[in-house]
Amino acid sequence: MQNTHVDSHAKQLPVSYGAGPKWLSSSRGKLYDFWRRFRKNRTAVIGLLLIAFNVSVAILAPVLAPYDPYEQNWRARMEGPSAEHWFGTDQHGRDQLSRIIWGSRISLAIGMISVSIGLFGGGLLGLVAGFFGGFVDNTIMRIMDIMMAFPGVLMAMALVAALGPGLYNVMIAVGVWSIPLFSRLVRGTVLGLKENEFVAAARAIGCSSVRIIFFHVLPNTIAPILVFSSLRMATALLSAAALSFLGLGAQPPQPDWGAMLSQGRQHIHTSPHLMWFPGAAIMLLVLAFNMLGDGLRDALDPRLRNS
Amino acid sequence: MQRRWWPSVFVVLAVVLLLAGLGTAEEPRQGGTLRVALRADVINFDPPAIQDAPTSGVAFQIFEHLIRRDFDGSYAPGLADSWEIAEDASEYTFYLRDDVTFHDGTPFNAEAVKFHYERVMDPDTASHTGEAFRENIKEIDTPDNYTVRFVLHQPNAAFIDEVVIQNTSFIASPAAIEEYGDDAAFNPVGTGPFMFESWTPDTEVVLTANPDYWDGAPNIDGIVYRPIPEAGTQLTELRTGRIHFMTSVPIEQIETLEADDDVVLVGEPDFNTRYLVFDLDNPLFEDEKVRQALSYALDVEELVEVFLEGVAEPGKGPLPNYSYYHKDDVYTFPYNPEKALELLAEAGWMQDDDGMLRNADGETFAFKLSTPQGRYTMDRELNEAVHYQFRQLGLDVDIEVLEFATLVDNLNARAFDLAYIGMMQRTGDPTAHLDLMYHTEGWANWGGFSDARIDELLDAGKRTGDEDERREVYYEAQDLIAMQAPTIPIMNEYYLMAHRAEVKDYIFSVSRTFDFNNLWLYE
Amino acid sequence: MVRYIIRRLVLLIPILLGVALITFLIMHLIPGDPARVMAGITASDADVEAIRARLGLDQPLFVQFWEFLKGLVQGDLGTSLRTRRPVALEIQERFFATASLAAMAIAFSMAMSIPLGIFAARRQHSAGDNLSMLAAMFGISAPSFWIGLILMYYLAYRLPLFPPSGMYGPPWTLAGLQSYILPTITLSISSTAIMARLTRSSILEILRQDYIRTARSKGLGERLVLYHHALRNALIPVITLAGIQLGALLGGAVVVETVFSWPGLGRYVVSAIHYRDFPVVQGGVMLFALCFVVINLAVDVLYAFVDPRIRYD
Repeated sequence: MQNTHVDSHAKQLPVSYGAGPKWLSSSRGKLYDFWRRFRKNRTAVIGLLLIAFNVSVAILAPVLAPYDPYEQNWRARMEGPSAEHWFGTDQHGRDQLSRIIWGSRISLAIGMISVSIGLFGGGLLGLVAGFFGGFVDNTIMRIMDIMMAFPGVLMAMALVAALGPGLYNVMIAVGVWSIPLFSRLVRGTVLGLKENEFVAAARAIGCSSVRIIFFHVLPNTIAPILVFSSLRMATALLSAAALSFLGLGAQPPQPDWGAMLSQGRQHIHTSPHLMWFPGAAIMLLVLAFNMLGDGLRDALDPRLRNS
Repeated sequence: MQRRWWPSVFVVLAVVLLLAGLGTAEEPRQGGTLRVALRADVINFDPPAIQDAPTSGVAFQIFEHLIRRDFDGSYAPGLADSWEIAEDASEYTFYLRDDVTFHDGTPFNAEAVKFHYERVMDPDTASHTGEAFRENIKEIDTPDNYTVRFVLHQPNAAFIDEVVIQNTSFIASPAAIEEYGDDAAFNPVGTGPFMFESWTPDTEVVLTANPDYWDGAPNIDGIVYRPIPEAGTQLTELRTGRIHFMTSVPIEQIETLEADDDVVLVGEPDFNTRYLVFDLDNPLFEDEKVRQALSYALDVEELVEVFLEGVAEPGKGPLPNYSYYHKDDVYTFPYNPEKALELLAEAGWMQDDDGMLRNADGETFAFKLSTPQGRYTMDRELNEAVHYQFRQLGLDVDIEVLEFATLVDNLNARAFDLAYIGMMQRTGDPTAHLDLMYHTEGWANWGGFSDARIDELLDAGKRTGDEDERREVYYEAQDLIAMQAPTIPIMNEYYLMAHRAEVKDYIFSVSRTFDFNNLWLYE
Repeated sequence: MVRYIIRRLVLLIPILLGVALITFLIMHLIPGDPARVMAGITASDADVEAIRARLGLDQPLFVQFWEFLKGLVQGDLGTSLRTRRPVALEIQERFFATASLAAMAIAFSMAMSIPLGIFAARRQHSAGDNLSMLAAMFGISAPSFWIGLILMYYLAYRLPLFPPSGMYGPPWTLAGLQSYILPTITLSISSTAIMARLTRSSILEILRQDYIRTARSKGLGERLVLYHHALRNALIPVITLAGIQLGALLGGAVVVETVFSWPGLGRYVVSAIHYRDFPVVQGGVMLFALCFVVINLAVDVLYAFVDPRIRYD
């Protein structure tokens, strides 16, 4: 599956140990500086625009969709693209354009919810592991190692088989699968920060662990997390699509892109439009998150500033 | 036992002579290897364990039954030359051929038959039909070397269908079973026209012609079976000439195939039913009127025509349309949404302003429609349409696509509301279908249907060998079951297959078995 | 170094035990009774019970797990519930297809991505650079099964150059090689794209290092600087990534195996999940996990060899 490149991103993240809370520590100048660099990064801007486009389509779906995405017309099945149906019709004679428009809501939800699960679950574990170190760290990270060693798709499949099919369970499966990645990332960042003067200072003035974690350490992990989350959105969408392809996932008649593609592949010889449009929709949204993530990284990483 | 039940059937596209090339008087070409696609890899060739379609399809070339099913559905001699059935259907005697040897050279005889059946019946063998065989067979006698007599516990007119032509009744060489033990799974030794050569997992099964076959050696040198699960991919393989034969034609490809001169498409009726089963314990479905209403609410004719494109027939009554004693004018529920609403109103369900059905307490008619995916032709698509049509009526139905294993679990645990399921039998004998699904004790009576009169009729039908009597009994049973609507019959699928035009003279017989003995490949 | 390797190897044991335990628990949580699935939906309860007893599924869970562990130590993975053959044999027969496909895909990825990355890095900000990096971005973003379907439609059906499915032998035979091509390309697309991007950024970073500046200032040609001084160091992370990708591709090949009906282990385990064939799922997942951790270990060790700055203690 496509989560394979996650590690590479993780390795390239701007975890600048010991650099201190540079960008967020707050003068407006730094934020402005970040925005200026971000704006100059064409990839990132295109990515952001594509996402904005998708989000608006999702919000405006009731207005934009020319037809009811659920209305079946059995006498007009699998028609190719035409003036009435720009993207043609599907196996039940439903308008494919309308389904893709409504489907953007599902895709965005899959991405956001599954990444949130990974982010909160993994983030919390990583934070705790990194901050307390020692036995706690060891225990948590060994469990994460076990999770990492699982073949991802198979684990997600088994989870979905255990939980029952359905979008929410796919989100959980994909989310759980990214927990170890987030926890490693956050732990690494925290370890770097812990040695910093400002944490020592906070300790010195008697701040509690919880207070230090949430008010001093956490904000400083936001930059790498932001980048990684964006990239992870991309892989989460691909993973969910792959699960749909293997027959798990969205329940009919939900207009999920992965399910549409999976169903459409049966008609590859006669109606290639059932394969092309949902596939392209998935690819564009994934592309958008990848571009945004890349751009963010470049803008946030001081080492790459001059390139 | 001659029964004329095989109607002349055609599939929309083409009337196909099964004995393609018969009458052209062409001399069959010798040699060549037939390449056949399988839907899934084979599992286990030890007869007591054979159950799935891919394995049984291949096993049919290696093994034989005592009796076979001829092309017109009647019984024909197999390993037994002739047979006798006692008046009251409680004893079956088979007279075996004396010129047959197993592939390993050991002779086929009455002892081998007895050995085989006793092995299936042995609880230690853990065959899935062990119980069914034990319930039927009291003892097996071998009066002489080539005679086998089965004495039954009680009369059973459907003994041949229930036992003798089952997959688990393929006669294997006792010597081989003893030699290989647990490895018998992939060392099948039978008497059939082809001999097992090798199996490469998920890649191929290779069979070679049996030069000493008692009915004459095959024309071709051998058969290679390749498991190709994706239907679309099978089709690509067929059209590019990499395989000769495929048996899971995606129905949306029918038009494409029809236009392809290199490919012949064949559809044959089959003994299967696809139906929706109600959980009768669910308070929603307790009322017969509700079940009838839902039956009226579905335009089954249209559904089947649109989604199955002519390769299935709408189901008519509880029996498959081509089974023996099927009542052509059985009670049915032709599409009639007004009637459905009327019946629902009588049961206390009225449409509100939004068209949703609600009862006196204001509750919606909420239930789950469960379906497998990829198990039966167009199962998911079909149920998406069913879901749509129920929704149009104002039912608050949600669809649930389940893995087949989970669905079966839910059926057995009675954890479903309305489920789509299929039943496939090798035989058209009504006993095999009705006893299982509608008898109070039936193993596949998932909805919990129970009717004393119907149980009585089904028992009577099984205990008599008299055709007229059975017809009368089963006609009454079919109507009685249909009227109470414990299930909604959806369709009987045709068995759809496609092959290269160069494939000649194969015989397709009832229930998905192929006789490739006379087959030859045109250059 | 040796001590490090031994320590890492010892650490693998609890990981693999954890994998075994989790797999075991998940598989037994899944609804669906393997005995019922095997017996068929029309089998009687008595027959199902008999099968369940024969398979040992009527034992308490911890007994079953203990039996599994005992077998594991003796190198016995148990017997498939569905085929009644030894799991070790079943897995071994299919592992080659998956492993060789993943290896081919990684080899292909490296052969494609490294030259592409070098090309892009040398012409940073040129049209060629932008175009190839854009292509890489698309490569990362496209669902692999979608690419596979498209390739199959055009290169196996419309233009029947390659077999649309199946493995026609090992890759060193002509027919075998032909059948490897489409699945290999499909499986390698995303890793090719990732590695090309990494090669490029890695080279760019190295070229900014002081020692490269020194080399340049000595008046060495740009080509010589790149190939003689920069490339070796720039490729270290790429090689590391290739190792990690190989581990991921092994377990992630399921989807590609499904598209091309490849006789691989991933697809077999998926069908075993459907049939609730616990021992096969157990054994398959263990093997994938073992490959993954061993490859990671090998990558770390290799890393130490190529990069003298790294020392493990």
